[in-house]
Amino acid sequence: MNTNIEPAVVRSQRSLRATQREYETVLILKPDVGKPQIKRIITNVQQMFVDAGSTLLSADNWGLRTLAYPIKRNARGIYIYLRFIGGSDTVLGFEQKLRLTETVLRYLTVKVDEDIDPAARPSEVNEDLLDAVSETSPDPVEVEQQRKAEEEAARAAAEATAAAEAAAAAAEAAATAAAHSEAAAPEAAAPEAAAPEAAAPAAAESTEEKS
Amino acid sequence: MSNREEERNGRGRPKRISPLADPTVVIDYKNPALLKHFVSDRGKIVPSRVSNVNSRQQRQLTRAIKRARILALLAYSAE
Repeated sequence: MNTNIEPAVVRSQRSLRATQREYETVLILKPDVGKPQIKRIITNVQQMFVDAGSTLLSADNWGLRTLAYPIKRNARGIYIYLRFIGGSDTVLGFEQKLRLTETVLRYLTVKVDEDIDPAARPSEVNEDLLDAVSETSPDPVEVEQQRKAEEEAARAAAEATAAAEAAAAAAEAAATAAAHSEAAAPEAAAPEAAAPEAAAPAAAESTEEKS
Repeated sequence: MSNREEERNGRGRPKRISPLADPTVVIDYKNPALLKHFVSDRGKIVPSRVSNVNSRQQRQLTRAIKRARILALLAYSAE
């Protein structure tokens, strides 16, 4: 496929033989890298691959994750996963570029498959995919923490409203009890029928007051 | 099927089923949840004589764990 493109510098026997391999690279970007910046990085990488006669097969964004240990004082990082076809010289040039990019905290390139037919593995990269990759999902650890905090807050709020309702009910009962003690029994019969639950303890209270 | 005696390994502990018992599981550095089963609390790689993993799988695990450590998916050591 790319046999007509001579590599600028022959760095390996494989690039001489024009065989290609499939690689995958995981990049860790700084956590504060925004969507346009990620898109720019990936399109740059794609352009670089095209120039080198290789192809970017697919890309994925694993989202913001908590690192197992801090890297350059960053506790979290954005994980980007790339799959591409190329030779060892492509990887060399790619990694040199990554080393010079300050937003890249860490990278790892792994050979997936060798001596492949590039035509059999079409690129999935299009504008939609690039857009999706640029979108960083939030850290699952943080999402979980936030969910717990929200649940806690909701529970506290529910308890508060329950307490308020109980207080209001008690106040109402007290009020009806007061009305009962003042008013005569036949007039009090109507509100008792309207709210028997509230009136029942109130009636008990009023009898206690009378005795 | 099996009684309680068979499920215990003679030391009073219930038998643990290896996560690699499922043949569809692929040992991959991108799956830290699987690799965590083969790492001690301190972050050390568990020897195969302890985990009863065969030597081929142990080699794959070792490689995957070391790669996962580079990508900060697993810790090199517990603090």
